[in-house]
Amino acid sequence: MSRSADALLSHSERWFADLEESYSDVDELLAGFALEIETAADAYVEVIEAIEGASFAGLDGYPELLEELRASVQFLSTEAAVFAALVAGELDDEPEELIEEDAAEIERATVSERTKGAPTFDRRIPDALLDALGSGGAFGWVSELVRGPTRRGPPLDLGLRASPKRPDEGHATLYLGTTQVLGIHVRDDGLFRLTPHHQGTLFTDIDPAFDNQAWSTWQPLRSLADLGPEVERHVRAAIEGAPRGRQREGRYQSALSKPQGAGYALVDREVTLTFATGAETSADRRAPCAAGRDPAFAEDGRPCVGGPLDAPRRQARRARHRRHGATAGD
Amino acid sequence: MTTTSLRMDEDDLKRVQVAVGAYFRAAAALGSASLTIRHAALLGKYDEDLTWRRARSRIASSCSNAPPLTTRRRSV
Repeated sequence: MSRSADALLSHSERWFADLEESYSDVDELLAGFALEIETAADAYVEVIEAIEGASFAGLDGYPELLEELRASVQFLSTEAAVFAALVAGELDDEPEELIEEDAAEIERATVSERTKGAPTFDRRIPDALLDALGSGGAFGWVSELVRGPTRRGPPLDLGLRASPKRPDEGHATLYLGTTQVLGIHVRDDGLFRLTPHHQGTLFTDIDPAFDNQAWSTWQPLRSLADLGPEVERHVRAAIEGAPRGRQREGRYQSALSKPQGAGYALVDREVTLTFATGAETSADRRAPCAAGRDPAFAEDGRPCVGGPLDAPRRQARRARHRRHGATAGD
Repeated sequence: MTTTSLRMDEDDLKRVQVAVGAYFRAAAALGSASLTIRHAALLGKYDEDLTWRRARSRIASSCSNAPPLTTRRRSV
């Protein structure tokens, strides 16, 4: 186990140990719960205010995002008020029989129903998906594609995700840098489907093209396995035919994702860090890139920042670079 | 959410930084609230308390009425 994963688990042990000191009084517990919910609502308000004033607030999916956040604020604020009122004894008029009925209903509900809509941290990847991507699996070729070192080939990476709300549902995404080339989805009845690039237009000229009708329909894995050779031809053609910018963007992230001996294992390549100041530049880190032949690697072979990315992405890459340096130097 | 060709400026960057920081504070608060209530439920030490039973009943209905929490990720 890598040192970083070990440290993560040690930290979680300490954290859960703190919970042994539970609240002695139920009112105190519920008041704390209400306060935490209210804190979350306030923080969402800050998110909304920050995004509302940004130049991109009216573009793409941001208006929808803001609406979702407002709905969350309203919901959380209401819940915080309800629990505060409960603690204050202002909701004592609900018949006890009704409460007992609710409690009985909770007991009858399945685990899936009980956790419906509730936050959960269970992101274990469905076994069916892991089997499909494993050696000898229907999509084992996808895993093989991403095994090669980034510096000798395209910046490929395979992201695995599980549904936080529905056990046994999840998907794998094959990325070229930060661009989805192929999505492999499984749902809890064991059926699979494939999805193309999100926008659906980037690879339309690729031959063979993504066959929406045949590949995007939920179906048994064996059916998709039969289509495997054609899907693989499409994926390889898409990787080769992607615009030059897509070939470079995300090379750094992809490089960090590869197995290495630096003592860390990448759990989530999209963890976002904050920065001390926006003006903090990394001229010292950019210098090796200027000298190197490959825009993504310095002469010593270490990945480095640079390239035609927008400002936030450059910042994110710098932060990851710093993290990489700190981890490797531990 | 699709990628835009808009050039973000320094103000945008600061706003994004504020938004990300606040988003994680919200996530931390929700995570803490969830653990608090789940731990209390596991202990079962409040099961005889009427206020706790009212709270548990409310939580059950809240869970089924909660809006999906935003978990948007990659933009392409």
